[in-house]
Amino acid sequence: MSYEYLVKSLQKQLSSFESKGQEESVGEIIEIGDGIAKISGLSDVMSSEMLEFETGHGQMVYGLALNLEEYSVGAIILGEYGDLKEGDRVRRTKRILSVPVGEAIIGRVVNALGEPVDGKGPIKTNDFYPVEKIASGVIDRQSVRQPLQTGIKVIDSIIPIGKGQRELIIGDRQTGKTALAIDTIINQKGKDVKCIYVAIGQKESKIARIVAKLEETGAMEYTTVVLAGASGSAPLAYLAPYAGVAMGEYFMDKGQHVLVVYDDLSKHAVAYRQISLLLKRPPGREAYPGDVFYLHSRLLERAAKLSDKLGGGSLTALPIIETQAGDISAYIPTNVISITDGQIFLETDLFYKGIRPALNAGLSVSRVGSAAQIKAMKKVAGKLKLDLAQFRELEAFAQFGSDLDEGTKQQLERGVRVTEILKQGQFRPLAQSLQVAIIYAVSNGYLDKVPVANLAAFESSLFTKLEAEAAEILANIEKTGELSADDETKLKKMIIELVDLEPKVEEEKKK
Amino acid sequence: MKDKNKVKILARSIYLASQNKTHRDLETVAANFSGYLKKHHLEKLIPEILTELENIYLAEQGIVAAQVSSTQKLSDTTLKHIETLLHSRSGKKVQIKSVLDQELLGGVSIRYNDKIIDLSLKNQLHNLTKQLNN
Repeated sequence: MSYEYLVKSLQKQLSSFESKGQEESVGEIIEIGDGIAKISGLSDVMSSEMLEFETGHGQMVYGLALNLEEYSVGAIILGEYGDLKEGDRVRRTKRILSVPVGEAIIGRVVNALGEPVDGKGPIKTNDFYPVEKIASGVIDRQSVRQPLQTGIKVIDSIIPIGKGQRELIIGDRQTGKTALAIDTIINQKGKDVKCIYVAIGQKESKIARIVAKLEETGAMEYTTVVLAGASGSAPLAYLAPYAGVAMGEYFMDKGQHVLVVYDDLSKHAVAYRQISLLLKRPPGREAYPGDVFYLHSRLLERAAKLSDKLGGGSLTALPIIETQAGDISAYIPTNVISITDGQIFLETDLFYKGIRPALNAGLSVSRVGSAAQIKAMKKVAGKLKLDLAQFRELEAFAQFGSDLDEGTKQQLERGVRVTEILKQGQFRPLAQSLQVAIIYAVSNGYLDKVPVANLAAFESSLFTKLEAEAAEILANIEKTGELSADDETKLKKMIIELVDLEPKVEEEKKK
Repeated sequence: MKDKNKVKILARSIYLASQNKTHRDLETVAANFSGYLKKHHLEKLIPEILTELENIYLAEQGIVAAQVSSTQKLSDTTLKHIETLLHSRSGKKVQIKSVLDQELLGGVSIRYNDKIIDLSLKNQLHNLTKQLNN
């Protein structure tokens, strides 16, 4: 860079500068601590307006006015508040907090204010979206009708998620909630869905591991991570999900599809409780403030499937809630269950029984239902839920004695096999066509003769065979979303051939 | 509650209590008030309460107290000029207090109520930094 160039660019920048003798509103900090400031003055400040705090060294820190009281204003401070002290000056900005949005944020790790924290340089974008925005109204929406493929057999077959839906993932610690969400993100590869993973109050080591995994699988090419770590302040944790959804709304407004994961909203509620108590708002049940329901409902309402007139974009939300010892009737879990369009229940018992994903098929539901399934899946998975439900009922009975009639035995055998087939390893999402094939095999009873222990091996040999010899069937399913009668016969033939090669249950018993 | 709020509330209460009171009653109010301060160990707040009381009095009388800071002493014509300017802005009588502040580097900064018109060199440099950073 030459000297002349420097002078010229400086001149250019300075030419647009004009000093304005404007009247400004100012206030003074009268109390500060724990990320909260009480301010005198600022009589005309508006609720959720951004404030500018000036430290003793002349540095600027931003804040957000939350409480407007008779003699003072309560504000949260976004960033380092160590340098601020009583008597420091506060100005109005007459702006609402907004975050940078656009293609530039994809593949980045940012904080709740949209500032990069991954050390990959500044984010260059001219578009900003306000973090708080009223959700789309009735006229702007249409019903959810496209599937969002998670790549997880048990979810795609019996509790399908649609684009624009809000599906809660709930369970105790260490039951694989995050794993489910990350698998879903990984499965969006090549499906033209932008993903935003919002980490609220998570350990930064865990986030580093997740980002590394996403990079390894190539998922970071369409993913943004919004990070409000456990070491950050509560105000940033409170803002993070709103920042994440604002980034998603940009793509939704452009007619694209977005998946936003909030991991997790229990910690978000705790951060908001901390802020509220420090702002001296009255505590209610479990010491949460009165508007903790609105806190989550206004966030999750922003998930939408827009009408075709508005481009038909969608924003799918996967909030995560951590329960304590399986207690789903606590305050926050019940709130979020009632807001979302269904929930995925993960249980510790199932997890340690080796059923992973540890999904409780009885308590998990998707209120959108089969509208969000491809036709082929609808066809093969229809019986699956019923099979599982009957199996669970009988399983309890079967414990008492072995004198069971042939029909009951049959149902038990089927149930065990369905459960076994629905198991799936982490980071191994499956394409829809493969899911259709294996579920077709189990729900039509072709696998009833195969020993349960051999099912996993059978599954992988079926997939290898299909990919090698019947790639056109798989391609047809992926393309048309249907399982034609022709393809069905071929698929059936291949499955039967393969089953014939396997050792049978009776033969094993004879040995 | 921090002291600043206490001061505001105390100043307003003594102002309201002594409103429309005659000579004798005023003395009783003053005596009661000082008794109250003593009882609650608030004596150290008295200077602040008095300043606040002055502010309230000025506000109630429709007078705006303005503070004009500058690096050098301002001439009477300049002050007069500022006074008319503030009068036209607020529509109220203006009482100006002039202060010297070397930190401003140059220019003036006018503060009244919770408004500020900052024409100091320091503020302009600050704005310039902000623009160059963007």
